[in-house]
Amino acid sequence: MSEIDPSIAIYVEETRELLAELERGLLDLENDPSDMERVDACFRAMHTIKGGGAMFGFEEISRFTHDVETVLDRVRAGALPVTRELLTLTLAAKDHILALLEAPAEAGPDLREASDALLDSFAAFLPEAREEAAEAQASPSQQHPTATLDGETYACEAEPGPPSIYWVRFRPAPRILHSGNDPVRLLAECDGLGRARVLRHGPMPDLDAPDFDPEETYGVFDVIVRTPCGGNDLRDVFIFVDGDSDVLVERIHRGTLRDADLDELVRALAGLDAAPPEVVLDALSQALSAKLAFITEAKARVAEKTARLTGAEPSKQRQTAPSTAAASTTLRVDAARLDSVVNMAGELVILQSRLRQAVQARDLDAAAAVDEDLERLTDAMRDVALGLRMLPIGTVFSQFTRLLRDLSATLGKEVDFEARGGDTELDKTVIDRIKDPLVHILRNSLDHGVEPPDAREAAGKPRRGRITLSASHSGGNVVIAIVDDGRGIDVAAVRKKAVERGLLPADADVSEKEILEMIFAPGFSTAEKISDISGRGVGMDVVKRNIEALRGMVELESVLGQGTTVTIKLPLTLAIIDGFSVVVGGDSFIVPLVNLRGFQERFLAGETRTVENMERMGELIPVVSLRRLFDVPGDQPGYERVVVTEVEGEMVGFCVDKVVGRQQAVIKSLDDCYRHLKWISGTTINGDGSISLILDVPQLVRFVRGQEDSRLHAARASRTLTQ
Amino acid sequence: MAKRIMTVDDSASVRQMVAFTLKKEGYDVIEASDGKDALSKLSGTVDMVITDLNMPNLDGIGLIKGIRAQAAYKFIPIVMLTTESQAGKKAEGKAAGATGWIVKPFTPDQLVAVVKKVLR
Amino acid sequence: MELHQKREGDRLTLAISGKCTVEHAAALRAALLEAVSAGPKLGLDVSGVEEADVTFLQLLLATALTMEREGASLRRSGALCEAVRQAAHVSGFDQTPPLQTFFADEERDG
Repeated sequence: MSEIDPSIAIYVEETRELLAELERGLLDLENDPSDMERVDACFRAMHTIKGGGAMFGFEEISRFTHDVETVLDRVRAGALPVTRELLTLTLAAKDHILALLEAPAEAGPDLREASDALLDSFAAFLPEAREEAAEAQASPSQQHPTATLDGETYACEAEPGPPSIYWVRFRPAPRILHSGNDPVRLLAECDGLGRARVLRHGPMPDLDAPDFDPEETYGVFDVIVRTPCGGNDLRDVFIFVDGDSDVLVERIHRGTLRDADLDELVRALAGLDAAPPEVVLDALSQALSAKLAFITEAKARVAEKTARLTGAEPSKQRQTAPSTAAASTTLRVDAARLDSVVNMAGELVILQSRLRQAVQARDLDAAAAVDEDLERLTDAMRDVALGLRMLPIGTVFSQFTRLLRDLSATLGKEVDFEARGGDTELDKTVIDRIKDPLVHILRNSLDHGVEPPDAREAAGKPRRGRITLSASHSGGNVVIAIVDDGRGIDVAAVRKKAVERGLLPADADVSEKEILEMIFAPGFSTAEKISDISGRGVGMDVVKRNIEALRGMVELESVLGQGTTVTIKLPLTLAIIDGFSVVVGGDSFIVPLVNLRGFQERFLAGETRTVENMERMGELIPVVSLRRLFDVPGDQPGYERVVVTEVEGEMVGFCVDKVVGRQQAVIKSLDDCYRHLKWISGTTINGDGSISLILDVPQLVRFVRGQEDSRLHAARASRTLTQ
Repeated sequence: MAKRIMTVDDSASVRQMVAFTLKKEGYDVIEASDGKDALSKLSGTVDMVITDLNMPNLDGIGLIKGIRAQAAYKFIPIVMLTTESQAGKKAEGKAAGATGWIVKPFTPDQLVAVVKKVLR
Repeated sequence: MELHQKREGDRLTLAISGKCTVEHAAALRAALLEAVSAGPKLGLDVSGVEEADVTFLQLLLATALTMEREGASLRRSGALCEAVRQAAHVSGFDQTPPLQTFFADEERDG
């Protein structure tokens, strides 16, 4: 069964998706229990999970899901109402299935017990007379041409015996062919089970009869078959047509008969095509009785002679336990996107041959045209290739609906949660890594933001709080906003706490925005007491760090008494950045385009410092000399360009010798041994094979902010870089 | 010439399993994700259809009726995949023109046995 | 399914080949009707049949019955291919009186 391993990986992944879908459906049902389409979707999800479970070796999932599916089916049929209790239970079942899916190999006893506990709860929703009727394996069993063990026939199992003689009457439905079944095929199958003699009789219209429909089937087929197989094997041949067609299988004799005897039996059936079964059986037994003496003798002889006929093989269909590890490496990709990659690969081939022609002809114009086309194609290919890694953020959003539902119940708060822009796409890696920070922020919003219903009422707000999570594209970024209408952040309290924690001098003159920033400082928490929900020692500083590790930014805005908004800006992908290439001496650097605000120039006289101020549009902004910061060798020119960047509303300029131009940089992350280089987020290889360092602008800005007079740090930085 | 079988299921894992098994047996396989998709892909030689019953857009019963309505596919074998033990669903499928059924879960061997049983 | 008519004097031979399944049953019936009405000396060459289902065998039987009624008999010309032989054997058509001679003795000339 190892051959179906790839399917197992797909099953695991698919089940995860189905479970997420199920959860979304269940939560939607909570809002609108009458939405039958949702009920249907939930049932279908459960149905598919169950079906696959048994097929791909997740037997416990299949066992567990059976009753859950039945309950959902009853809801679907209108026999059960959608209640909160039922939804809660089904959500728990969903969690349990996920646990079973992720459990290694065979489910342990703990999980089985958990299954049973949940199933007990589900039992209440099952019909009174709970029919344990196992689904009949209606698919025809595999045929064992040598199988002779027929429970009915042999009292003594150990003793092999002779075959039996059966009479099969098959009267095909006139329109049997319209169901894709062909009587001849069925009869051939019958023939394959033993030695068969067939009599085709009954009506057959003339060729020119007006009511003759050549697509219909006429007459009766009476088969006398000598077979080592049981009657059920014969019945299985006709399993798909039984009901519409008349099928009768009767054993007329235990023991064998000669071929000539079979012919005689068949002849006895002539003219009995319309006779009822009793009459036919009577005729057959008469024909048989003539042979009785011989038959008894033959029976004894055969029983004696028959060598050990092979018994039915024990079923070998054990499926190997799936390896769940493989699932995490697969990614489902929109087929249209794959198609465009293939198309582009085709274009690439054409361009290559055009380029070769141009080179052979030494035709620079043609080569330039190829270059132009190649640029366009490369851009498009990059976008599509990155698109392959893109997933809608909604996959994470749906988990939050559940989270907030459970949390608000725990906290005794009432809250409406709305997620918008779930179809906004983000790099899979970013999605995977943004989840935890978002959970933390949402927990904070619910725990610290949204007030208890009574407090809200007292403040003249609706009892139910509101938390909105939205995602949208903005430039090269995805902006995620978490908005609550809670009590907001008390700036004075934050300031007090910051001072208490020694994060802020008591007399510091800082803006409200800066105070709010303190919330992201390590070791800061405004929660008065540590609750179960938030304040578990993981502070907003971790959130900020995690987001920045994704090259994102996080911002807080709050109006006391009205609510808080947390805004997260994330890059679309981690693999490539749009940047501007700048040169200092012999080194080149990349400034990410998202941070870039403009260029200026300045003339210098005398000694420069690492960090200076410069006037820009009537304001003084700090400028950093990359030459000094990174200790680039070479003389300071008297004229330099300043690259103006903005991070978190602050402008900082970087002095460089030359601005080269826009460049798409494929990020190569730094080796671990260079991780301590704070101001570099990575490197990239240029077209000419040289290397550029990608500036970590937020880090640099922070550095500038804290170290306006930073000779010391600059010196240290230069040392580390030159090591 | 290899026989062409269309497998219709909204579950990618089941489709994959069916396709994998049948391809290994030397059949050509076309995959469709639901009844609607299947009808849109139904053209040229299709010797057999294996379809799930519970599917979005167009379910298995609807698909069977849709296939039988086309002259070219009026008599091809159509096997439904079902976990429903209820006679109702099966009877509905049969009335719509299904050739047979396979009860899920099934093994690759069972699948091949049914295909060999009904495919001319 | 392909059909070819060959006429030698008053003897008509209809050669049937390819897939002789329900999809072609109506066409085959029309061809057989035409052949039967052309005269009593009809021979069928089924050596090129690749696939035969119940409709083909029924048409053979109906043709034989119709010709018997007219006092003629259906003749086989050419060898019996495996597809037809097997189909007729497992379904008992080869033992049906009007077709017994059609399916009997393997060798015969065209």
